This record gives sequence, structure tokens and C-alpha cells, in this order.
Amino acid sequence: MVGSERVTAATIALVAAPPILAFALVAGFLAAETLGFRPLDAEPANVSEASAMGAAAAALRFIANGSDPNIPRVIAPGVLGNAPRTVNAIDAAILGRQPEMIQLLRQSGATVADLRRSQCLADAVQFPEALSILGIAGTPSAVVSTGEADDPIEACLRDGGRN
Amino acid sequence: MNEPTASIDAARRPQLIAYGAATGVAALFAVALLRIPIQLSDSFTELLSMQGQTLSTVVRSEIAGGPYFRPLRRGLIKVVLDLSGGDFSPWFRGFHALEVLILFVLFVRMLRPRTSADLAVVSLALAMIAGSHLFLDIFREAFPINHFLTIVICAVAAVNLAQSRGGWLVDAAAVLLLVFAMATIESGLLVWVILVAAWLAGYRGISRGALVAATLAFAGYFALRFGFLRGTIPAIGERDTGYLLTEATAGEMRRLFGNSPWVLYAYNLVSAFGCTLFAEPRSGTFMLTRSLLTDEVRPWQVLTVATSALTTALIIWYAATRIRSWRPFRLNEDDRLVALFLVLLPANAVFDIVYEKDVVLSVAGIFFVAAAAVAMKRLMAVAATPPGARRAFAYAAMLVIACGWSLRSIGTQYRLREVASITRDDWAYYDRWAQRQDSVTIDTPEKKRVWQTLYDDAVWRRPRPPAIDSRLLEAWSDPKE
Repeated sequence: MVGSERVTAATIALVAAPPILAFALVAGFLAAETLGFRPLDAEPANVSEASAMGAAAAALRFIANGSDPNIPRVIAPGVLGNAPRTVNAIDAAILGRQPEMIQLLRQSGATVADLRRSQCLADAVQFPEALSILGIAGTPSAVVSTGEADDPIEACLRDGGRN
Repeated sequence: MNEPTASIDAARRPQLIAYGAATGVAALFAVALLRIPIQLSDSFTELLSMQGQTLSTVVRSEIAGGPYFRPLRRGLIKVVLDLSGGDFSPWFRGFHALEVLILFVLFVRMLRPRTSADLAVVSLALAMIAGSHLFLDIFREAFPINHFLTIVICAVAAVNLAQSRGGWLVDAAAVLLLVFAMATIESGLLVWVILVAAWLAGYRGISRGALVAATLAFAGYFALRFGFLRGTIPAIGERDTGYLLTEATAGEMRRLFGNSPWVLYAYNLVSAFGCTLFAEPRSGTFMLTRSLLTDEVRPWQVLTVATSALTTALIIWYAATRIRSWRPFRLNEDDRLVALFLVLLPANAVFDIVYEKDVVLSVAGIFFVAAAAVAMKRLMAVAATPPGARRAFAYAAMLVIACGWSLRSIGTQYRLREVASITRDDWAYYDRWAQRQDSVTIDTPEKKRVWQTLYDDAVWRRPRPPAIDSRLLEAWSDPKE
């Protein structure tokens, strides 16, 4: 480049500092991860969380490492709304509206523990596709209605979809 | 005795620092790229189709009529495939990372940094490449070799050859580079445009004789492809593409423009200019405009369009202040790079007229960055003038451009991490994907081995990089929707 024109140190810093800072941030982030820190971590903590997020490869790894997808596990607040949910993997996939995940979980040994509850959850999140995947399409809705202030998902989980 | 050596070292120091910075940024990309498994679509099928074939069979099968002429594209994939010895992911992803490193180093060499100001501009230029919407797919995708990246490397290498002191080796390399690029994908023809434009701009590394040879090779390409092989150009409606405020399917494009293709060609040409200069439209669709109309503007859209538009304004300002002094064959070093961009912009846009794809414009994109680097250096000189409105404006422009592109470069890294997860999940859903394919069959032990290796790599062997939760990054990073 032609370098005859006068440039001040301030302008050099102004132009160079933002990209250097950006690359340093990325490098620092990677270094922190290498050292075991997990800044801004959003990794699924269990197979239910992975199912709710649609993290298929992670869900398969949990199952391969011995995690039973049929056991209800806590899904942390922020994954499926603000409240924590304790559900098995298939119900988590329903709540996360992950149709492909439901099929994958069934291929991997997950079963529908409580058909009415799963149907109730599918109705509660308005996810009728799940019902056809689970082979229960066309059956009457089982959404539990216990008042306007009630959380329909919590009602399904509490009452198992039974009115 | 030591003084000349010391002065040479002092002169080389900015270059060494610049190469170090380029290598460092390439290393960041290498980490991100090596975490991404080989893609299921485009890549897996490509590897399957090469099982049991020799290199010459692969290359010869591509030398045929039709809308595309890319014999070395698959040839290069076959070479890396054979070298990998079945260890596909590290080889192909490593090759991708190596290409990024080569691009960054050649690009820095093309800028020829000599001063501290040059170094500042180089760091900004690296952020621009890392954050450009025209390079997103170059980093995000591989087929399993990203041939668009290969052509950008060829383009920058051509300028490096033109900048050299010349000689028969340089001449031979220039012609071979052109032949390689042309036989890789169609936009490789741009290497010829670069060789000629560089000579007209005053670079003398490549001799007239080599230019004549390159021109003969260029003409030979057309004679071979359209004369001997009776090839065609891609027809309208072979791929989906954007149009005004919508993304049109291939069928819709045929219905809309089947009888008036020139309307689409003209639209796509103008779109290509807009995409390169203003990041709007994207792949033919006016996305920011659409978001404005539906009141759904996302921060990344504003960031992308604002930084691109402001950088374009900077280049226009530079060209306007310099163009009166431009004479054929007598441009100074900086002006030559800007002139190359002005030539490459329309030339590259021509390759985008049948269907719009941002990454096709990556050759124009790399010269956009070079021109912006030159213009930024000029702006830095303006900022050294006595205090006043002119200086304040220069400072503000520098700050906004530098911060904007830096933020975009972080966004690319964030999206690469996302791609690493998405690609793994694609593999986890392999059965569903396979059901939708008409032509994918795993009917031999070799093909089964390829599938098993890639599946295991994606799902079991190499865990994905930790997902991160950041509303800020999500909002400001270009998802290339």
C-alpha cells in the first residue's frame, strides 16, 4: 500500500482496536472453553432437555451413555418457557414441538408412558402433528381446563390429562 | 554494518505482523471449521458417488455438454478423498481450514502492508472478510470442498502474480492458474478478467506473451465448452432464487420469466450490485425492505446493510477524489486495487444473472474489501487534518465501520458454532433424510463404510462445541435466512 500520507496514532487505534478486540474476544472465549469454563452455556443437561431443544445428536449421545429416555427429568427454566418442567424425553419433544425428534426417540427405545398425558400436552401446545406421529390422532382432546389462570401444561403434567 | 539489516527488518516488521494476524484469524476459523462434521446434503452424496471410481473417471465424467462445466471441482474432491484414507472429516475440514489460511495470507500479501497505518487497515480488512455476508457460505458450507473459496484464492493469487517481479515461472503459473480456475467452476473465468485488468492498471508481473496465452486459453474454454461439447448455460428455474420481496421456487421462476428471461437477468444483475455494495437484496430478496414493511426488522439486518452501505460510500468517496488522476497503465498501488474492484464488480455480477446466490459474488467481495482497505487508509489521513467538521466526520465514519465489521465477524463465529450443531442433528435424522432422497442408495460395503464413518464422526466420535445462549449474539448475527 502507498504509505506517504500522515496518519495519527489515534486514528490507527480507532481503526485497529475494534477488530483486534473482536478477534481477541473470540480467541478468549475458545481458550476459556478449552480450560473447562462454559461461558453462556446452553448445553442440554439431560436427554429431556436435548429432546425439547431438538438437539438430536446430543439426545442420542445421552441415550448411548446410559440415560433412560423414559425417566422424567427436569428441564431448566428458559428452555420451555419460564417455568421448569419435569418430563420424559417424548413429552419434552412434544412440548418443544419437535416432530422428527419424537420419531428418533421412539427408534431409540423411548416409549409413550402415558398416552393421555402426551395427548394433553400436544393439545396444550397446539401441536396436533405429534398426535399423528404417536398414532393417537383423531381421539377427543384431553386438555385439562381448570380455570383461566391455570397453566395448561402444568395441569396436564399434574393430572395426566384426566378431567 | 548492521544498519541496512536493521532498516530491512524495520521495513519487514509490518509485513510479518500482518501475516501473523492473518494466521491468527485463520486459526480461529480453523477451530470453528474443524468442529463442523462433513455435511449430509451435497457432501455425503458426492463422496458416495466417487466410491469405486478413479480420478480420471471422475474428471472425464464431467467433461460433457450441459449447463455446467466443472471437471476439476470433483477432481479436487477425489484427490482429497483418496488422500484421506477413509479419515474423511479431518482431511476435508482441514483442507477447508487450510484454504482459509491461504486466502488470508495471499490477501495480506496483496495489500502489501508497510506501515503501522497499513497494519490497522489489514486488521479491519480481516474482520471484513470474516464478517462479510458474501463469505458466510464460504465458511459455513463445503461440498465437501468449497469451490467458491477455491476461486477466491485463485483470484487473489492472480493479483499476487501480477504484482510480482515476473519471469517465466510467474507467466506459466498465471496461465495454469487460469486453466485450473476455469475448469473448477464457471466463475473461474474471472481470473482472466483479473489478469487483463491488472495489466491495464499497471501491474507488470505477467508478461504480454503470458497474457496472450491466457487469452487463448480463455477463448479455448468457450470453444471447448460451447463448440466441441455443445454445452449450454443454466436455464431459468433450475434453482430457487429470490425476487423482490419473496423467495421464489424454481417452478415459480419458470412461470414468471420463462418467456422473458432478460427481465430476470436484468433484475439479477442489479441485485448482484446491490448485494455486493449494500447487502440488500440478499440472494435476490429485499429482506430488510420486507422486514421494514412487516415491522419485523432484526438488529443484524440493520448492522449488515448499514456497514456495507457506509463502506461503499467510503469507496465511492475515495474513487471520486482519485479518479481524475487515473491514467491507463499509470495508477499507483492503492488505486490499482480500487480499479480492480470496479472491474470485478460487474464482471462477477454477470455470473449471478440466472439465479442469485450471495456466495457467487465472493470474488467481487474480496476486492470490495481490498478497495475498502485502501479507502479507509485515505480516510485515516483525512482524520489527521486540523480539528473541524471534516475531521469529526472522518472519526465517526472510521469508528462505525470498524465496530460494525468487527461485530459482524463475531457473528460469523457464532453462526459457525450453530452450524456445527445443525450438521450433527442432520446426521442424527439420517433415516428421515434418506427417505426423501430418490437417488441415494447404500448398496455396497464401500458406501456403507463411508456412511458409517461420517455418521459416527457427526453423532458419536466428535462431540459438538458447547451451545451458547446469548440473546445479543442471536439478535446481531446474520443467520443467512
